[in-house]
Amino acid sequence: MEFAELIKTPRVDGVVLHRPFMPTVEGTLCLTGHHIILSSRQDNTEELWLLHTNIDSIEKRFMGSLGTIIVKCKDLRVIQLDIPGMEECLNIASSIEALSTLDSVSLMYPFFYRPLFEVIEDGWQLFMPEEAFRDLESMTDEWRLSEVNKDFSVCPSYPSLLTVPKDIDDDSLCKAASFRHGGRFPVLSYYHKKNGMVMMRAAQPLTGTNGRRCKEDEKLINATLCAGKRGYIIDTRTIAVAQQAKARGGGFEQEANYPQWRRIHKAIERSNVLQESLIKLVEACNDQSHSMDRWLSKLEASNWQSHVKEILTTACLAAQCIDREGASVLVHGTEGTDSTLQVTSLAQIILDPACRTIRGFEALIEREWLQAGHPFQQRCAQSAYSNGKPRSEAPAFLLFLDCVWQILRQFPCSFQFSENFLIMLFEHAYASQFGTFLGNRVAERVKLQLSQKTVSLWSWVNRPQELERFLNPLYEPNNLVIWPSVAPQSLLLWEGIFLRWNRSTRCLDEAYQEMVHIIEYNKELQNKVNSLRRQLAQLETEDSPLQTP
Amino acid sequence: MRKCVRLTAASSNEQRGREESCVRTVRTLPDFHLTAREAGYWDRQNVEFGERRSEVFKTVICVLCYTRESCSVDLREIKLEKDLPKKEKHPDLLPGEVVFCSANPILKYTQDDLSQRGVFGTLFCTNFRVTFISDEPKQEETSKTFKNKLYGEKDIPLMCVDHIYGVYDEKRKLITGSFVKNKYPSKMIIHCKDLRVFQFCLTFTKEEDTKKIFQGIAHHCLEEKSLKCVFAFSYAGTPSPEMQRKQETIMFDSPEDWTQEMKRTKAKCRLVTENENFELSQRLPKYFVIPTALEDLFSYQGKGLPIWCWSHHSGCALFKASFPLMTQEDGDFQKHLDTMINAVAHNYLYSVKTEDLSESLPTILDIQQSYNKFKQFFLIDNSTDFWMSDMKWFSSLESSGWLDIIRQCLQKAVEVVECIDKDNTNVLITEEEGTDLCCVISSLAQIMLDPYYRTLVGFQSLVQKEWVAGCHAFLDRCNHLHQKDKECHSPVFLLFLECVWQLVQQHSPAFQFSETYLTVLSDSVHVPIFSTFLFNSAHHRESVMKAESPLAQSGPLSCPTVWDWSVQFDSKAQNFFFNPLYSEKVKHEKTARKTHKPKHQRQLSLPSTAFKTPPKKGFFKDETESLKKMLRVKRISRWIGSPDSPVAATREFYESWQQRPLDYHGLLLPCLDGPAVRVWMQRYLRWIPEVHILGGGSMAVMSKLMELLNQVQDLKRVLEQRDASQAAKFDHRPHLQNRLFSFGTSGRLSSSFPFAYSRNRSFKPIIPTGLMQSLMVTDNLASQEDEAS
Repeated sequence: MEFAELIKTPRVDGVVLHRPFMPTVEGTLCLTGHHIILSSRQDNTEELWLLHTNIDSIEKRFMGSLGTIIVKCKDLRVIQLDIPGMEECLNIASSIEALSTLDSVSLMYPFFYRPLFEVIEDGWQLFMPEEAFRDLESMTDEWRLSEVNKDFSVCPSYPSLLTVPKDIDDDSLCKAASFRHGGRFPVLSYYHKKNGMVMMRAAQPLTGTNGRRCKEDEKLINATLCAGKRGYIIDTRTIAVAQQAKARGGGFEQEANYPQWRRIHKAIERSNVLQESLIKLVEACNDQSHSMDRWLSKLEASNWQSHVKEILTTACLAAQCIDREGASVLVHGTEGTDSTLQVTSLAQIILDPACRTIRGFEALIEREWLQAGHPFQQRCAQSAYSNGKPRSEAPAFLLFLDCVWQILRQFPCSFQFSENFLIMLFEHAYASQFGTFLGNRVAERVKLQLSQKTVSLWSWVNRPQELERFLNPLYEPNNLVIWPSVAPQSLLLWEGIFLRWNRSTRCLDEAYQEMVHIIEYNKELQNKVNSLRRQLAQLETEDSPLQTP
Repeated sequence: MRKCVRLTAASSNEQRGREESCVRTVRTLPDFHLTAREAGYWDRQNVEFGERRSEVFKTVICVLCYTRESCSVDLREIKLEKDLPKKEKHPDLLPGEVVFCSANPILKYTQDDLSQRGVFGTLFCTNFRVTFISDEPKQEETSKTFKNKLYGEKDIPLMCVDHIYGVYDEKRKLITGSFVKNKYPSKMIIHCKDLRVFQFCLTFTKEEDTKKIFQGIAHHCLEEKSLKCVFAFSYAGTPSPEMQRKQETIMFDSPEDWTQEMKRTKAKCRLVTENENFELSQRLPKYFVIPTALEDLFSYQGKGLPIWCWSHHSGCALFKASFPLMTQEDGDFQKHLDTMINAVAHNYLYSVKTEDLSESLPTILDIQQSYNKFKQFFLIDNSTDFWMSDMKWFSSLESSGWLDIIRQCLQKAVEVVECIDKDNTNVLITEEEGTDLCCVISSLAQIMLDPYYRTLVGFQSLVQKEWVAGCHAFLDRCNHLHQKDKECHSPVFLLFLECVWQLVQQHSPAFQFSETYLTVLSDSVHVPIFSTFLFNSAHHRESVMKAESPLAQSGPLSCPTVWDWSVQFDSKAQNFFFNPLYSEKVKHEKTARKTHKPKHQRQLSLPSTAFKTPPKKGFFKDETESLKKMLRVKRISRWIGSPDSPVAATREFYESWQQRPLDYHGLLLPCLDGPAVRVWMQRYLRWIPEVHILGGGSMAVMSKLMELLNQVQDLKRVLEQRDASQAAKFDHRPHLQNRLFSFGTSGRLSSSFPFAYSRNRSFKPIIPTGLMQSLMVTDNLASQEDEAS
C-alpha cells in the first residue's frame, strides 16, 4: 500500500502534546495512513486522534535535539507536539505533510472507514429530489420534475432531477441552459406556501458585450410570475462587478428583455476575498497579545462581520420580497454555486419553520448545497492556516453557518438544533470520516460511488444517541417568519468557532448544564404530577361505587 | 427682598394670558424653584389635593412669597378652583409635582421612522419631568409588566436630560442655556442620560407657546440650579408599606452596621466614631474603620487615612486612602503618609502593597471624554444616521476607548485580588480624593472575592458601603445641577456598573441579580427622588437634610433610598431583577470553608523574616518598614515599570484560577481578552428599534427559563399540596412566595424587553429602511447601464 511509503517513522515514544487550557499529555505517537494518534497508553486518559485531512499546515521548530511540530487544523485548533530526536521529528513532519495533501479522492478516509454502529436509516437515501417534489406536489401543480439532466450533460453541476415550471419543455430548458453560466438554468429553490411565491436560483446569463438574449430563458422565468405581477432578480454582485463580467461573456438580465422583473444588486464578495478575510480573522483571534484596541481594529480589518452582514441582508431582502411584497424572486451571482446558495438557503431559514428543525436543516443542506453543486472539495481544501496561494478555497459554507448561528442566537428558542450542530457540520465539511461532503457535485459523487463505498454523515447524526448532543433544550416550534436584525450591533463574532480553542468553555458549559437540568427536572415533575393525577382519578372512580350503596 | 409672585396654572383660554405673565415673572427670578413644598404642605393641611389625578383641571392660585436670601417659601393663600371645563389631557402628577408650563399641539416624531410622522399632543414641563401627553385616546397598557411607577415612556425626568438640540433650518444646534435671542427652533431634540432620544416639532404651536415651552424646558433642564430645586425636596410621596424591604440592605450609617460587617469578614480593625460630627474631616464618612495600629487621627484633616474596605479570611485586608499629590518637598507629610502605610502593614504580616490609581488608570476627565464619545453611537436621531454610521462600527467603538477603560479597571481589580487572595498581602489603594477610582476598584475586588456581594442585598450593601457612605461625590460626578464650567463630572459610578455587567455577563450563575437590575440602577441615578445619589459626601447629606427638614414641624424630609424598589416598581416588575440561573449556595459549603480558613497563621517570627518578597514585579511595590524611604523615589520607580508585565502576571493568575474546579461561591475572575469585553447591549441598544429582534434575543431565553422555573415551582407546589392532602392535613397553608413568573408569550417579545415596547405588533423585517431607496438607485443605475449597452 502506498501509505507505507510515505510513513518513514510510524512510532515515536516520549512525545508531549500541548493544548491550550488542557493538561499536557505524554505518550506514544503513531502515524497511520489517515490518522495521527497519540496515546499515553494508560487507562482513562484522553487519546488524540487527528485525521490527516484535518491538518491545514504544520510548522517545525528545533531546540537542540528536541523537535517541536505545531499542527494547525482546519477546525482552527492549534496543537503542539514535542518530539525527542531530530530525525524522528523531521520524518514525522514530512509524513504528515505528504499525507495531509494527498490529491486522490479515492484515498480519502471515508473509503476506508467502517462504522462501529449499525446503520438503521441510510443517510444517502434520506433526502432524494423525488421526495422534495412530492411535498411540492401537495401544494401546487405548477411544477414538474424534469429528467433533462439525467446524464449530467446539460448542466454538469446540477443533479439529475430538477424542478422546473410545468409549461416549459425539456428543449427550452436545454436552450436556456446554453444561455446561463455552466448551464445552470433557473430552477426552483423554494416554494412559499403562504402566498404561492417562489424563489429560483441560477447562474449569470451569458449576455456578453453584445447583449445576447434568449427567449427560452425569458419564457422560463416569466412562467413563474402571476399575471400582472412583477418579480425581483437579486444579483449578489455589485453593478460594477456585473458590468465587468460582460467582458468575459457573462452579464446580467437587461431591463428591456425582462420587463416584468426588477433587478437588485447586492455586494457579496467573491471567494478569494472571503478566504483572505477568514485568514485575517483567525489571525486576530489567535493573537495572544490581548490588547483591546488592537483586537477591535483587527476584527474590523478582517471584514468578516461585514460579509456576514451583507449575506444576511441579502437573504432578508429575498425573504422580504417573497413574504412582504408577494413577489417571486430569482437569485444569482456569477456561477450560482456560492453566494447564490448562501442567499437562497438563508432565506428559507427565515421563511420556513421546517428548515429550523434538525431534519429540515439536513434536507436544506442536502438540497441547497450538496445537490445544488457547491464545490465542497475545492472550497474546503484549505482553511484559515493555509500558507500557499489560495486556488479556489473559500469559506462560503462556513459563512453560511455563521449566518445561521447569528439567526439562531437572535432566536434562541426557534431552532430545534443547537450551536453544536452547526459546529459539527463545519468540522465535517472540512474533514470527516463520512462521505457526504466529498466531491464537488452530484455527478462526481455518482462516479465515485460514494453511496455504496462510504457512510453518510446523516446515517450517523440521526441516531438518537448522537442527536441528543445537538438538540436545543429551549426549542419551541415557532411557525412565524423570523426577521433577524442585521445591524452591526446585533451581529456577534461566532465564538463557538473562532475562539473555541483559545478560551475555556467551562462557565458556558456549566450554564448550559444548568439549563438542561432545569428542563429535565421540569419534565420529571410533570410526569410525576401526571401519574399522581391518574392515581387520584383511579382512586376516585374506585371510591365512588363504594360510597353510593 | 421679598417678591410676590402670582402663579396660575390654567388651561382655559381666558386664563392663558395670566398664566403667561406669571411664568414670565417666575422666569425672571434667577434661582427660582417652584418647589412643590406647597404641595406637600397642602397634603399636610389636608387640602384636597388628591384630586390631582382626576380629569378635572384645577386652577391653582397661590401667592408665593419668595425670599432669595433664605430660599424659603411661604404659602399665604391657597385657593382651589375646580370644575373648569377641560380641554387638554393632563399628566398624572406625583405628590408634590407642579406643572410649570405646557404647550399644545406639539408633534412628537416617532423615532423609528424616516418619514416625518408623529403623534400630536401636549408637552408639559413640571418640576420633576418633561412629559408628553398624546391627543389620541390612551392605549391600554395592559402588556406593560415592567412599568416604572414614577415616570413612563414619554416622561423625561429633568435630571435625566443630557443635551437639548434645536433644529434651525435643517441645522442642528446645541442649546446651552435658556437664553434665546429671537428665533425659536422648529424642532427640539432631547437626548437623555438613559440614552432615549425625543424629537418634538414646535411649528404647529402658537409662537408664544413655543417660546414658553422651549424656554421653560431649557431653563429647567440646562440652567445651573441649586440643590434645593431638585424634585426630591418637593416630593411628598408617602413611604410605602413595603418600606421594610430596604432594611435588608445595610446602609452603613450607624456604628452597628460597621461592627457587623467587620464581624462578618472577621476583620481586626478599629471603628472610628470621632468623625460623628465631622470634626475630623468633611470629606470622610461619618463612621469608618482603620487599622488598629493607627493612633494619630487628627493630623492633616484625615488626609491619607487608610480606610478599611474588606478583610480576607487569611487576615489581610484591602484599604483605600486619599493621598494628595505633593507639589513640593514636604518632609512632615511624607512621614505622616509613611506612618499610615506602616499601620496598614501592621494589619497582617507586615506586608503591604500600595497602588496609586491616579497613575495607572485613566483620570476622571478621560473617563468623561471617552464616555461622551461612546454614548454618541447610541443616541440616534433617525434611522438614516443609524445605517450610515454602521459601516465603521468596530473602529468607532475602538476610538471611544470606553471598552478599554472598562478593561483597565477590571485588570486593576484582578491585580488587587491577586495580591490579597494569592499573596495574602494587605493592599492600600490610593488616589488624590480617594472616592472615585478607589471606589470602583475596591468594590470590584470585593465582588470578585466575596460571594455575598453577588447577591442583590449584598450588592446594594456594597454600593452603600463603598459609594454612598464612602463619600463618592455623586452630585458633582453626575452633574445633577447642570454646572457648566466645572470639570468634575464623570460617569464613574456608571463605569463601575459597566464592569459589574461584564462580570455578570461572563459568570451569570454567580450573580443573584440580572442585567436588567443593573440597567435599572444605572437609570435610577438620574431620577431625582432618591437621596442615594444626590449628595457629595456624608457631611453634605447631613447638612442639607438638616437645613431642609425644619420647614414644617411635621417631620423630616421623606427622601426614599433607591433600594426601596417599590417606589419605582411593583413587586411583579421587581422579579426582573432576579437572575433565574443563579445557583444558590449549598449549605454545607460554609463549613467546608471554615476548615479551610486557618491556612495562614500569623507568624511569630521577627519582622525581618516576615517580610514577604514580591513574587512578581508589577505596579505594586512592597512598602515595608525597612523600605521606609521617600515616597517620591518609589513613585519614580513605578513609572519606569513596564506596563506589559502585570498583564502577563494577571493572565497567569487567571489561568491558574481557570484550572481550579468551578465554584460560583468562591473567587470569581473576569476574562480580560479583547473579545471578552463587550458592549452592554441591553442598556445601550434598548431604544434603537433598528436593532430590535422581534420574538428573539437573549430575553427569549430568559423568559423561557423563567417560564420553566415557574412551572417547576408550580409543580412542586402541586406535589406538596397533594402530599399534604394525602396526610389529611388540608389547611390554608400560605403559598410559597412565587418569586418568578412568566413574561407572557415568549414568542412575541422583542429583544429590548422589558424596556422599549414595539408599538407596531406586525413583524416588520428589520432590514435597512434605506434599502428600498438604494434599490431605486441601483435600479436606475441598472437601467442606465441597459440603455448604454
